[in-house]
Amino acid sequence: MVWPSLAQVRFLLVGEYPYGALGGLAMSLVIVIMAVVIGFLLGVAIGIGRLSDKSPIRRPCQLYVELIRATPLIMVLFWFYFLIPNVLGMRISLFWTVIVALITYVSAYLAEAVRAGLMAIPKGQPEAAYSIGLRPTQVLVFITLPQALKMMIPTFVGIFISLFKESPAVMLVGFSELMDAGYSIATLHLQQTLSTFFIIGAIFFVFCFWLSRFSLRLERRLNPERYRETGELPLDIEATAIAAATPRGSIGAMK
Amino acid sequence: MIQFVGVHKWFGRFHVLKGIDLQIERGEVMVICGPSGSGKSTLIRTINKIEPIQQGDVIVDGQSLSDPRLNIFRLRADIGMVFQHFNLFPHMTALQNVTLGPLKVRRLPPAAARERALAALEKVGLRSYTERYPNQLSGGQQQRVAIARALAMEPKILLFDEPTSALDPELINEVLDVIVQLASEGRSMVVVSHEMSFARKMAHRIAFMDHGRVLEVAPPLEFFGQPRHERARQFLSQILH
Amino acid sequence: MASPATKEPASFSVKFSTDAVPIVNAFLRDWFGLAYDFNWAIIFEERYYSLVLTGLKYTALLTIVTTAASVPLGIIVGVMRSSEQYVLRRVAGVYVEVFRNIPGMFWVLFFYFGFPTLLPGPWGRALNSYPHFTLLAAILGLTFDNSSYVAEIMRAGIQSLVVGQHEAARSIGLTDWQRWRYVILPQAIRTVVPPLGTRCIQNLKSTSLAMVIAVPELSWATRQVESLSFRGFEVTTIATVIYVSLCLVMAAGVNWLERRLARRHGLSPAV
Repeated sequence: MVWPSLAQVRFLLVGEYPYGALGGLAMSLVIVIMAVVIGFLLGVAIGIGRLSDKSPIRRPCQLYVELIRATPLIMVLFWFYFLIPNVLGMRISLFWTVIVALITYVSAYLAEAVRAGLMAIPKGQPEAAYSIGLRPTQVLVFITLPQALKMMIPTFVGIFISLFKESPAVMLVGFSELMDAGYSIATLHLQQTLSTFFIIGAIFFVFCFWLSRFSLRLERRLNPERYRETGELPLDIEATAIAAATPRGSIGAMK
Repeated sequence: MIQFVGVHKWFGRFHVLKGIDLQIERGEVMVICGPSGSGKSTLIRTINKIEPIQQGDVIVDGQSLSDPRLNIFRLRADIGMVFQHFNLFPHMTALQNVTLGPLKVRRLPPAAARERALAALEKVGLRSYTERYPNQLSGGQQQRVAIARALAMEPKILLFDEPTSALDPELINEVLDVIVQLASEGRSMVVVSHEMSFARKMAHRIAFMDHGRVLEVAPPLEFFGQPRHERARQFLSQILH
Repeated sequence: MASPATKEPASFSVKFSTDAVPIVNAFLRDWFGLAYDFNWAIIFEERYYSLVLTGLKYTALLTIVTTAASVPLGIIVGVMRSSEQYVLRRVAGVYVEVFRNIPGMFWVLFFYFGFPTLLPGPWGRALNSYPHFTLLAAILGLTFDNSSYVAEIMRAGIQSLVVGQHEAARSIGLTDWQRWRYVILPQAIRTVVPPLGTRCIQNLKSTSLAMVIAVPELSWATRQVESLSFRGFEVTTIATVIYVSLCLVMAAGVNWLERRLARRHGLSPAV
């Protein structure tokens, strides 16, 4: 069995950087982190919008979330890949096209997580807030949103891990990251695949395994009441997005 | 001060308030009691419109709650409410819980808000607990912080929704003492409670509710001594042995 | 696709493409100020149409086969995971962690490229030359990947049953096997149906991963149509609509199943 050389392993980890484009594991991390961080802001906005009692806000948000959740990541990538250069006529790099697509994709799941968090806040909290005369926006910003977001941190980490696992899909629009780096080394350079695949698999495994352990410890520390032994977070993005929220109160808008 | 006129409320198909007509004077302490499910909690929550009503009207300090021009947020700032389960904000310290209202609703500068909060906490006996988080406080302490939170708004009316029902017995008195003191200061208060000793001592009038109706309203002497309504008599005999 | 280009398209598509489509195209172009010339009628051309149809067939096939294979497998592993025997628990645990932490696309590639080399020589070569090998590899990869999630769902379902159930079963004298067969599993399976349903919808979306080894399912068809017609945006939109519709149909099916189970067996298995 031929093992990849040290240079090739370096390629797997950081691509051609600093002599060329970033690639490999580093690139995977860059796109996932960027997508999650920016997608978070979008996701919070949409998650809140989902719960609005004004139809013109709620329905588009609902539509957005349901539409994206029913679409595979590859389709979302294709859609932006064709929309941006061809339809909109904008010449932006593949990197940014991929980022925009990932942001769109992950924001839907983050929005669902935010919504679940908001709906899990006991009714008494917004009631007490309204009773001292706070207005709905203030109630959201000072009382319900902070608590909801804190409660959902482990879920957000879970979504991050899931996106990281789905990120190899970008290689289908020609963007090179860890899986693509491994694939090209295995098929082009080594003519056999097992050794490289083993390394790639190990990298993914170690990374995701460690992250999910971390997320469990985080949940244990942040939300001891909700930490259940069975509550080990499922690592697929769909289930983390509708992660269990215990007693459902509603933030209701009491006008 | 507070007037209920023909108030009806439904939860879905359940008719929870069946035509309430009741008046509470300025400076009066009214205790509402009755068996569970009688609608007393719901009634007190209609005063600051946390529970909306479907029929009738509630008039608070001269303002009708069903008036479309009503600014309910400003009205709520003048009504203080204390809940059965305290409902303190867990992500804020005791002091932050109490300063939030003065800062964001009364729009006081931080120093003034802090002063008010400290005074309120002093009044409930928790001046040295400012940096504690709710989960570091006992039930009785949490409820007292909740009272301070309401007091810091300098409300015209205080509402208490079963303030001691969720407390362990040995913690009840520290909270009741605070409520008794507030009552003796001439504030307008509406208290839903099972604590009959409190009612007997501090209430100006007691309203008895059952199955969504106010069956009897009387001063304590009369209520405990010669209850006129059959259900009231039953209730009292069950509560007091 | 070897059909002659002069073949008469269906009459509906003639009307649609000559009347409605140009209007829609013009609207999109002018309203958005775009330079792109939309052509939504391409979908009705035979060669593209048949690619998409084949894609739909393969997607459906992949979804059904992987679901049918991974659910029983996952349930078994999930039960093993909850076993009181250390060895079973450990083995299942390793299985789940390995397949759960490593992406589905990896497994599809693995079963296509790596797996034949693991087999003894003649078998490996036979596998590689098997005409439907890409499909098989995709099925294997997706099945194992999906089964690990099913296993976790199953485990959570089993563990959600309160200890009281086990105790009650023991106290009336049931053996371990009987306890599992008659008390624990029936309830666990009922609890588990909703998250399993969600998982299966996710499975439908995962089938798009098979395109990496050129299984002609819907996503692959999308790219093919794009490379032939350069109308990527239109075909992607259409394919997305198809995926969304399929997911909606599956979601409706899962809802129906949940309601039927609830009706027949009463409320949730409980305390």
